[in-house]
Amino acid sequence: MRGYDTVVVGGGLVGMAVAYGLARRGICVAIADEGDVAYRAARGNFSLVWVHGKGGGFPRYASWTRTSVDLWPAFAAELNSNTDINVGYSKRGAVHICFSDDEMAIQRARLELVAAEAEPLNINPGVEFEMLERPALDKLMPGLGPDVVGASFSAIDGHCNSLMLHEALLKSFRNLGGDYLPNHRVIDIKPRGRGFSLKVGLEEIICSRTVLAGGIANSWLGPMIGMDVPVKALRGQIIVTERLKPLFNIPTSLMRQTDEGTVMLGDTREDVGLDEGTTLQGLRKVAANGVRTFPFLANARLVRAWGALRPMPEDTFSIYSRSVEHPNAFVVNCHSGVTLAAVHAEHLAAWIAGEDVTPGVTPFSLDRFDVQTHA
Amino acid sequence: MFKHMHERPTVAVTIDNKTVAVPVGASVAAAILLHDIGHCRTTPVSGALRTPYCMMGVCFECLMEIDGVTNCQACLVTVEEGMSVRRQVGASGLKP
Repeated sequence: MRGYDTVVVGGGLVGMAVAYGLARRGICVAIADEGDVAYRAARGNFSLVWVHGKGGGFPRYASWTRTSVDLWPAFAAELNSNTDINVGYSKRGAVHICFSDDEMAIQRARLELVAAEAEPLNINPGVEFEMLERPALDKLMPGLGPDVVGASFSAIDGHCNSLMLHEALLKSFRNLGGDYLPNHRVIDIKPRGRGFSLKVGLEEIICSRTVLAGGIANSWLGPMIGMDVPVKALRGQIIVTERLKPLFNIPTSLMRQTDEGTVMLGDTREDVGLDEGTTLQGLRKVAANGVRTFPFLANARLVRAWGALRPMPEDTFSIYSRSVEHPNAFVVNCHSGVTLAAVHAEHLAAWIAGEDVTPGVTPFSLDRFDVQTHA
Repeated sequence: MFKHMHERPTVAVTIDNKTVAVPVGASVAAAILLHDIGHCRTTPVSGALRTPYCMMGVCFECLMEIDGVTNCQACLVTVEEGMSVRRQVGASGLKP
């Protein structure tokens, strides 16, 4: 029987960032990871490091996301110095493209609302933007199609290579003595004293603290430690082109060119249960939007397409919660594992480790959902 | 260098300005190996040399410019009389 101070259940971007943050604090941590069969958002996502437009109706989420965006440059540098892995972080700004005056007005109102909601709380509003019409936008991104009317621009947003991010977190975690356990699907969790016993196959792993970072799996793992976690899968389909010379150097909310030359086009939002597949209809929509934005992409060849499942909380915002029944059990859920990786490794890990943290994570507790805690 | 088992009629193909004879029905990748062309491209990321490898459309190592179209998988294209093949250097641009 193996024992650890803390076992993080789930080795995607969320679990990996939290585990790294805990290990950095000298805590003895293991990650129990399901392995390659997992519904792994970390290997299918779009890799934006993005705040503008997020957090409408939940200003503390916008602010939390902004905190992460602000931490990102140092975070990327730290991972690079830990591992020599370049996570491809680029912070040169990003745009959300609008195809009509109406869309421009809606986007402006959406962003102004995020800023306004933060004011009475006296917190960082998260959003920082300007609305760009053509030709100002053309200077930033040459080659836009005739249907593009303008865009919102945020100077603090950017993108990275999320596969490298995942790899760099794993390597950093291991360098600190963390134990990564692949093919360790947790099938049961039982209280054991003030800690827990996690069942993996015929084996038991014991720990004094556990963090559930299993994405969609948190919905069935949570009740084992007294928490109902309202999270479900929301599929996104993505298309990837051949490697091309640099065509545009900042991402849009639906399109980016990677540091290795491929253009990634996203994405769909589909409630189709646990189906990770692609559909012709979905991919057609993604491709059409790409060509409408940049007509030159009509001549690009597509080499891959995939579907991946976002672990989406019911109200779309992060869940960070501590079990009332078992105070050493935590639940962590979000659908922005890339953007939030920096704040997860820093503030969230500190909170789980029992430190005082500013900004606090109280607003992200499960209490906001009108659900009964598991008896 | 590879040799074929049976004599077959050939077509003339230009590979980077050098005209060579290639058996009818062969792939462009086979032509590269047959004529000891060496590398067929350099990679966009590190500039490493690449040559045809899997010969069945899986590995994407044999990308070349064929009749003006970049990033073609040379192992999946059959040679034709007068075809123009070029080595690809780094990432390719888009056809305007």
